Amino acid sequence: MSGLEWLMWLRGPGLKWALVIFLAGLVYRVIRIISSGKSRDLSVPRQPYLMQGLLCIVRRSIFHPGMTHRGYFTLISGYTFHIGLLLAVFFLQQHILVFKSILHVSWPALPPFAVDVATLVSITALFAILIHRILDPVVRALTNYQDILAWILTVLPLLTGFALMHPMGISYTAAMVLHLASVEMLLVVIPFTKLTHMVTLFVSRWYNGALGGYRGVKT
Amino acid sequence: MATTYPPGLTIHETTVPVYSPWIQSLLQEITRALQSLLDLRVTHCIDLTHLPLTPNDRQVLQQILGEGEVRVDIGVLGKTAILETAVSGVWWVRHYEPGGGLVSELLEMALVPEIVETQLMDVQESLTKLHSGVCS
Amino acid sequence: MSNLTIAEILRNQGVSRRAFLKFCVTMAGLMSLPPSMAPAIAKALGQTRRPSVIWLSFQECTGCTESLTRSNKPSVENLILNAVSLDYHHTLQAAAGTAAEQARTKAMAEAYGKYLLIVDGAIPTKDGGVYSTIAGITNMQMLSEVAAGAAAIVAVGTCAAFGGLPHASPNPTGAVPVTHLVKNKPIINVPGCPPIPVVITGVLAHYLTFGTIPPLDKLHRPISFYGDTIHDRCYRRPFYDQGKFAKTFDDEGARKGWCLYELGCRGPVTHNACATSKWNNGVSFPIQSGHPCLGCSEPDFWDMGRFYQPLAQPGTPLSKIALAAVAGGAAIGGAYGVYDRHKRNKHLQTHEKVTVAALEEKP
Repeated sequence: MSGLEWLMWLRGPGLKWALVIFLAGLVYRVIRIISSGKSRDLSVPRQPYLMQGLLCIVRRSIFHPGMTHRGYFTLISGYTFHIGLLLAVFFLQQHILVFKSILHVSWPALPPFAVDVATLVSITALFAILIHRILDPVVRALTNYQDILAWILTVLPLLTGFALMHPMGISYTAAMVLHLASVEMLLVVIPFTKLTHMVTLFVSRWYNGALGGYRGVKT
Repeated sequence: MATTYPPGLTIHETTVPVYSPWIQSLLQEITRALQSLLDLRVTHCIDLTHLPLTPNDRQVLQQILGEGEVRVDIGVLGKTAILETAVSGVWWVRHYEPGGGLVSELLEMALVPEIVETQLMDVQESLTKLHSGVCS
Repeated sequence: MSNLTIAEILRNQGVSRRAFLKFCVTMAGLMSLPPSMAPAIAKALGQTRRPSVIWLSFQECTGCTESLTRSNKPSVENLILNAVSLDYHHTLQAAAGTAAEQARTKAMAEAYGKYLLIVDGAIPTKDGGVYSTIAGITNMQMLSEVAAGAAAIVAVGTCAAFGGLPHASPNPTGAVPVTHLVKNKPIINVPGCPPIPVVITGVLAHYLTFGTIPPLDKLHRPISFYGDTIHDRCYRRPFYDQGKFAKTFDDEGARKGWCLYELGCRGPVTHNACATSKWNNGVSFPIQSGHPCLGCSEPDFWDMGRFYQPLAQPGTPLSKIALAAVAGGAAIGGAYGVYDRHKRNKHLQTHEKVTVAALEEKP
C-alpha cells in the first residue's frame, strides 16, 4: 500500500476501530468497578460520601507535603510529563479539530510554538523517567513488561507528533502515517493495561476519600 | 580609537566595501571569466535567474557593474534586453517571453553576446533570397 | 512523419537562428535546466528527427488537452507542439472517421518502435472494456495495439496516470490507469486534474530534446515538477506554522490570507508544481485565490474523504459509533458488575462459618 493509502486507512477504519476498542474498553472497566459496589457498612457516616470523594480527588491533584514520600524526582517529572502531554493533546488546533468532529464541541487553541515547548518538555521528562527506572534499584525491581510497553507507546506519539509539525527529511504523509499509527496503537492498548489509570485514578481517589470520610479520616 | 601618527606622515585610508557572500563569489567568478576571455577568447555565462539573490543583492550588483555604452533591444520570441555594463566584457542579458514574463537573466562575459551576432545561417538564407530576386 | 530534424523544422517555420538560440535558452528554463545547457539543447535538437506523436483519448473530459492548448499568445510551448508531428488527436485533428483511423495506422507503421504515445483518460476494463470504444474497438485493445510500437508513453492527467474520476468509488466501468495495462514500456505519469500546461510541455520538451525519460519518482512522476508538495512551497506556510487558520470561507482569517488547513487543504500530501509554477502563466493557483488544494495530482483524490474536511479529522463521522462504543462498554461493564455482585452475595450466603466444634473435630 502506498503512503497515501495507509493514511486513508488510518484516518478511516483504523481510527474507527481504535476508538471503539478504547472507549468500549475503558468504559467497561470503569462501570464494572463501580457497579460491583462496596460492602455494606453499618456504622454511622461521619462525613457524606460524595463531598469527601470529590475533595480527595482535588487534594491529591494539587501539591501537599504528604506527597513527597516517593521522592521529589518522581513528583516533578511525573507532573511535568503529564501536564506537557495534556497541553499537547488538548490544545493543538489540529487535535481540537479531531475532538470537534467526534464531540461537536471545540475550544481555543494554544499557539503551535507553545505546544512545541510542551511536547519537548514532556519528552525530556519521559526520558528522565526511563533513566530513573533503569538506575533506581527499587523501581527497577518492580518493573514489568507493562511499564516498558506503556512508556514506548506514550513516547512514540509525542515524537512522531513533533516530527509531523517539523518534518525534516521525512515527507508529511510518512510522518502523518507514523503519528496516526502510534496514536492508534496506544488507544488500542490502554484498556488492557495500567494506562486505564487515566480514568480509574479518579474512581480510586473518590473511593478512598469517600471511605475515609465515612470514618472521619481526611485523605 | 584615534591613532596618533608622527607629524609629516600621511596615511591614506581606503575603505574596502563588504559585500554579501553571493556578491563576493559572483564578482570572483566574473573576474576569472574576464581573465579567460582576455587570454583564451573563451566566453562564460552566469545564470542569475535561479540564484537566491535578494532584491537588495540585485541592486548592489547593478550598482557595482554600472552601465556601459551599449544597449541592445532584440525582438525575437518576445523581447530580449541587453545592457553592456561599465565593466567591459560583462553584458547583462534579460530574456522575456512573448507574454512579457522574464524567462531568464544572464551575465555573459564575451566580446559580444552570442544572440546579438548575426548568424551565418541567416546570412546564407538572405543571400539565397537576394539571388532569387526576393528581398524580405 | 518527415526526416527533418527539429532544428530544421523550426527553421522552415521561419524561426531564425537567433530566435532558435533564444528558444533553446527558454527550453532549458522549461526543463528546470541552467541556460548554459542551451548549446547542448541546440545540438540535440539539431540531431533529433521530428518525432511522430500519437495522442489517444480514452475515458476523459478533454480538460488535459484544453489545459495544453489554452494559449492566446504565441509562446514557446506552441513552438514545441509545432515541432512534433501530431499524427492523431481527436480534438485537434482535421480528419474524422475512417480517414482519422487510417492516419493513425499509417503513422504507427511508418515510425514503428519510435513514436511517442500520449494517453489521456482512464481505460475501462469491465465486461471486456465495452464502456468506451473508438472506431468499433475497445480502448483496451487500442491501447495495447498502439503501445506495442511506442518508444515511450506519457500518461497525461490523473485519469491516465492513476485512474482519476472514472476510477473513483464505486468504479462501475472497472476503469484503470495506463500503468495497470502496459507493463513493458517506459511510462511517464503527468498527473493533475488537469496538469499545469508548463509541466506537460516541460516533460515533452525533455523527451523531444534528449530522447530520454526525465528522472521519475516511485509513482513514475517527473521529480523536477512533482518532487515537492504544495505545502513545502506554499506562500501561506508561515501562517500554518503560527497556527493562524481561516475557519470558514470569507471570514476575517480568510481575508487576511491565512492558512486554509481547516477548510480541508490537501497541500501537505499533494505533490505538484502549483505553488511555484502556478496557473495561467504564473498568475495564481487555488490557495492564492482562497480555495483549499483538492489534491488533484494524487491517486484516488476523489475518495480521500470530503474535500472541505481538514486532513487531521477522521475520514468518516465517528460520533455515533463512539456513542455506541461507550454504551456497549457500559452495558457489558454493568452486566459484569451485577454478576460480580451476585456472585459475592451468593458466596456470602453459602459461606459456612467455622464453628468451634468443627475446629475440635479430628480430621
